[in-house]
Amino acid sequence: MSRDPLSKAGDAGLHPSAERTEPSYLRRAATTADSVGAPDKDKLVDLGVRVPKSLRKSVRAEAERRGMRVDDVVAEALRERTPR
Amino acid sequence: MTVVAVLSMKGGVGKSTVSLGLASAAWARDMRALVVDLDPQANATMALDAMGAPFTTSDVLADPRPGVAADAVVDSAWGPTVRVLGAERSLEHRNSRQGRNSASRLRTGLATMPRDYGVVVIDCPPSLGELTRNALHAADRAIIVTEPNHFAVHGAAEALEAVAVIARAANPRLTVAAVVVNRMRPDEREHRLHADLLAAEYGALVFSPPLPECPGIPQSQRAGSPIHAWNSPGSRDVADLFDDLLDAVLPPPPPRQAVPAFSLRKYLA
Repeated sequence: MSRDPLSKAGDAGLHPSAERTEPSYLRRAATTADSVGAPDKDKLVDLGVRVPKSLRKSVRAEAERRGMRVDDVVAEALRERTPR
Repeated sequence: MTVVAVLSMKGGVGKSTVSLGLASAAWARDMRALVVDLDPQANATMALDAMGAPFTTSDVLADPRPGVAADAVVDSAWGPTVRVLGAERSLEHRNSRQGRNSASRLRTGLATMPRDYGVVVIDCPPSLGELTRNALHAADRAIIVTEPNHFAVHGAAEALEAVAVIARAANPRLTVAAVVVNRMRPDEREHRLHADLLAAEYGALVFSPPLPECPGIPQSQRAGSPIHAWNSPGSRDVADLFDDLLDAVLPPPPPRQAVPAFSLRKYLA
């Protein structure tokens, strides 16, 4: 049985003394939007996109690795890449 | 494969020294050993020259999948028999709960590790946080390190209590192998007093004799050499003590099967 290789922890570059914001996936979330740090007023909406099957597989694996839902992983990635 | 956690609640008493001493004893007898550094100070990692490893125990504990530790193990500067799962400063982030099954992540990560390691030595940080809990969940044996002084003896008692708590609640196979008194100077009255106190309190659990203060230990660590390969006055004696300590940690060899006496009469019959 093969598995995806180990990857660096997200906080590897963060000094232990530095002020740390809690990772979004650890926050108590009422909604998906809450869990990725969006303003409370944001409503959840559907966004249908077509992506390569391999990408969907990686996103699912990443979600499983981090104990998150696929929606949350995608929303977090989009938030990081999209200017407000 | 015996997994041994080396711990104490007090810092600077010689946990990394004892961890490296055990690895050195394994090295000297050509036994495969894995050193798992769970101390963010990464002193054992440094001594084994594995600071540049791409992955560390921090990454392994951040990932709950079984067997991931295998991706982070690298060779040490001591040769192919002693391997290392190193630490880094950011391991400090893992000293608090990491979600579900947080305390058993190291055990899960090591789950598919090859069984041909004779011994796995876990060097713990000086705290009772999640890193030490992970070590105690993964270990079969625990070695408590202390110095013969008031604060260190108190730290040893705390560590023994931690082992008892984890053994009762989560890891029934965990037992204390030894309480090791380090940097003993027999000519100092205070040292003798505390060594006697420990012997009275913990009896046969106290490893005897204590490890003496020996300049060869820090010298060999700085040079990245096993103490068994270090030629300086006193180093040989310390190396012998680590041999005895490794024997105390490992399970006794199975009793030899009695070989039936050869009978020429039966052979010819």
